[in-house]
Amino acid sequence: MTHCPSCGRYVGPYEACPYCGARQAPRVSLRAVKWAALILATVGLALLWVAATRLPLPHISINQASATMNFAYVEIAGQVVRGPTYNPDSRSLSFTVADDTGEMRVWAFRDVVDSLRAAGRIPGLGDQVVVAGTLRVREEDVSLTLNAPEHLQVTRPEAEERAIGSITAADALRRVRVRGQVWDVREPYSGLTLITLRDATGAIGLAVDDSLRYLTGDLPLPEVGQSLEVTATVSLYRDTPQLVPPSVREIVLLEGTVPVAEERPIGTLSAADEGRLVTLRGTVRQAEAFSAGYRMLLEDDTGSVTVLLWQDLYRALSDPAALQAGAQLEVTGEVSLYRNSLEVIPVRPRDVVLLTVTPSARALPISALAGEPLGAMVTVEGTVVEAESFQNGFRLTLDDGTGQVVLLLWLSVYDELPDPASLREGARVRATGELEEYQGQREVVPARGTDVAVIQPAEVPPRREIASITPADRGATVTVEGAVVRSEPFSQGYRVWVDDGSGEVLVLLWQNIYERVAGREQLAPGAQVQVTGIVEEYRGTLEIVPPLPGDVAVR
Amino acid sequence: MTEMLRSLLFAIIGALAAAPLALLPALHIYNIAGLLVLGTAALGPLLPPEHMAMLFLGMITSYAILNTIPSIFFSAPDESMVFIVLPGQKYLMQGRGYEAVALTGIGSLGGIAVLFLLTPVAPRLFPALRAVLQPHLHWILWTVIAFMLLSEWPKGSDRAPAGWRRWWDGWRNLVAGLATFLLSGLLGFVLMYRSILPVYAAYQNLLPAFVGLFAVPWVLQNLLARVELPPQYIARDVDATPGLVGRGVFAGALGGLFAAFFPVVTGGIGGLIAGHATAQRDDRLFILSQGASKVVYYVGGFLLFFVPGLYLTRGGMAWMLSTLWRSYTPQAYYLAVAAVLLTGVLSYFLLLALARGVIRMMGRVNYRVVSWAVLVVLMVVVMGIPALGEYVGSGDGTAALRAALGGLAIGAVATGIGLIPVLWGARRMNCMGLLLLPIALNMSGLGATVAGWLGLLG
Repeated sequence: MTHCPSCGRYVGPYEACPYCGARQAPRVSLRAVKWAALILATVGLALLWVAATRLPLPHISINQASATMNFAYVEIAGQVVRGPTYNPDSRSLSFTVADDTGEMRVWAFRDVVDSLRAAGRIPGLGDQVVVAGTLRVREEDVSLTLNAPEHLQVTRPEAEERAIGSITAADALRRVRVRGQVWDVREPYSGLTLITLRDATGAIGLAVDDSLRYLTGDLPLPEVGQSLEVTATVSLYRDTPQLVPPSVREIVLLEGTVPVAEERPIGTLSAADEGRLVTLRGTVRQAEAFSAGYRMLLEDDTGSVTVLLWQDLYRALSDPAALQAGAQLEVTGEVSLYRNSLEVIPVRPRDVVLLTVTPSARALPISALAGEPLGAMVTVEGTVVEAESFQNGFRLTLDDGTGQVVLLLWLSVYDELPDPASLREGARVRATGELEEYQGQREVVPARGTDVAVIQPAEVPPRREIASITPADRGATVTVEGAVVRSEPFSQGYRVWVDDGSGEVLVLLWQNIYERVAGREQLAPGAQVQVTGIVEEYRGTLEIVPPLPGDVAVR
Repeated sequence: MTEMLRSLLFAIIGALAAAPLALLPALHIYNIAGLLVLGTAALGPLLPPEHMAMLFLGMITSYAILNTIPSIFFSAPDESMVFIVLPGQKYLMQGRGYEAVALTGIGSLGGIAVLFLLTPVAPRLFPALRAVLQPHLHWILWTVIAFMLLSEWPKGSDRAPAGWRRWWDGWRNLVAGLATFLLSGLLGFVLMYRSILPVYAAYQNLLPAFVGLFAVPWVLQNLLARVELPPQYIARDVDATPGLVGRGVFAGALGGLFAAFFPVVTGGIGGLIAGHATAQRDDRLFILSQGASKVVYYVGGFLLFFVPGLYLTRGGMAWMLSTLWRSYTPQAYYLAVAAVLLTGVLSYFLLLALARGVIRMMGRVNYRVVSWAVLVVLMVVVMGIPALGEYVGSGDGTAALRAALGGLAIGAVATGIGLIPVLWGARRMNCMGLLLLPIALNMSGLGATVAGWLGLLG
């Protein structure tokens, strides 16, 4: 009965009516059912638990996973063929395991990742793993979620010692140990650092991504030239082998230097060496510039070979002018075959080492330039006796007593000068540059600002009163000092009127001069300026035209 | 256009097919969908997956509305319905079962209207909501558990002798509730980490446990209680004002959405929280809100699977479908909403018609016979689905027999646990410890530790 016989109200399983308190007729079965339920719940659960703990984890091969296995707790075994990858947003770790039947992505989240990380049990590429977790079958893929760190067993194969050049695509997923010199460090995109390692047999990329750093520890980036020992797994990037370490701890800095190239007598080089990196020592016999760079013939006791320096590398050398005939060099570069001739092409400035300074690196008398071939790197020293500006630079005439030559400074070179204000007419200058010829006149053209040095600054020229300047001074160089009374821009530069109390004169600053005047923003009425320039006359008005930015000093 | 009509047709077929199945007490529509997934695994695709999705959508919409009938007339609710039983039974015992069904149906229609109104904002609202809530799910789940356990109140009769017996009279339902939660939680750990069922039936790993926890105890209760139902009155109207309907739908939709969006939280738990949040005290309001809640929970949870860009899988139906198909386009989502509207309205009319049919049959069919038949069906489900899964996967008859016995063993243990709240007057919702305890511990990073203590990782 479910109703109280006394008050008629519904009482359900109560033994006493909750409304009137009348005791219900005892239902013999109810107490038995209660005990049966309790026994079933507790003893049954205990038995179920005992049975479950004695069951082995079901092991499946990867292709067995099907829709009806969704949420099964299973174990798979195989090799890590991709990853591990860590996502900091979801705090998830994933890697792909492959067995003979297929591939499956394995995921771990939050605390499981933290535990694995703390225990140093993050699997690496190529590791053998046995992993158990919850299978997730979706339309697009099948994955396994690792719920307990204990359910991941990682076996890392022994690494074989290998020369870098011996590693090929066939070594994919094999663990190797290599020693090499850091040749290049770059970040193709944020989160991935690619370190190129070289030994005497070849080069290979070492990929270190943010996931690896987070999971296994931070890696201070090695510098180019340092030597490393790396134990890693070979992976393929577009069929090219590269190394992926399982941990940053497998990247060890070495004390010594691993040679990146075999030192070879020049005469032993042959076409079979094409693509190989070699180190040569010899004397420069010929040197010449060409449109894309600089070419030298390097010779030792066994033979000679062309050493080719591309323009960007040549310009990056610390002392390119020294690469003259007679200089002794050590060059490391890649052997190349061009029109059946062997060439050695260095790729880094550090691979061109000057062993002895060539006598020709000393300053040449200007008169001797006539005997030098065009394109040769020359160093000259002389006093600036004339200066003029043109749209793209400045043309200075140097005189060393033996002759005169034009020192051509492109604007880009001028802007690199360490002290441009000191480069004025009368200053003594030493410059290294390429010998060129323009309209029958020889010019020295430095490639960088550091190739030009002011050895002795010019003396301050005597000051002239503005009122004393007359049309008779046309072509003469004068220095005046006074206050700016007005200024205005015009299409090709800036006009400034200077008054020293005796009179007023127009100072004409061409655009390339004006833009390089130190403190030009103060060239406003009231500013004190000192200007050295050539007196010219334009439509009946005398004007002073400074040829160099250093000729204008704003006080 | 033809493809769209074909998809809608599959949704209608699903709704019509699910209608008679929803009338069978304790038979969950997930079991039927599971059989279809099993059939697909065994025989290859029975239907194109996008049509299977629409079929499932029609089935779940129809089931969510029509399972009110067995839960009111046969008192065999599933885990999402545990709260409707008391007011529903009260109506039934007053001869107003049909009115309770109609009220639930109105609530369900309201729930469908809420889902429809959410359609334009869902693709933007839910992904953002998910991004905000994702890091907090673990503690929210623990709060839900705490609320569920702490909001139980002593239900003693105040007639027991003073002393321990009186204490026990008042507190036994609380102790029973806690015991149920813990025992079902332990069962959940065993099943999730080291189930005795074969891996080929893993997608229905929890089915025997759910049947044992929720369905079998009610059938046994019906058999023991010898229920005699009063004649039922088929009302022409319901005792509810538009305002009451609005409040009920609002509360139900709130609970249903909470349950649909949060993992593991079912419609019953969502309804409990929403009921407290909106301070419901009226039986009509309660029944209305439960109608809305279970539709929003079942159908809304499944619809989340279709929301473009959300990639949220909630509820057993979505998990099963996710093994075969995934929705990527807004078109699929809008088509799914259209299918829900269509099958929802169809199911409402089916609900009223079938409720009348059931009332007519009730006098003619022996209630105990029905209960025994249901018990047999449940045993067949508990043993049959694991056995079929194993047989389809491995082709081994002996292993299939072992799987059947494994299902029976889990179902029996779960029945023992599920009987505790029934016999000691606690909330049956505590049986949800099966999922809540292991998953909440997993989310807090403690699941593996507890599983290790239990020796399940060895």
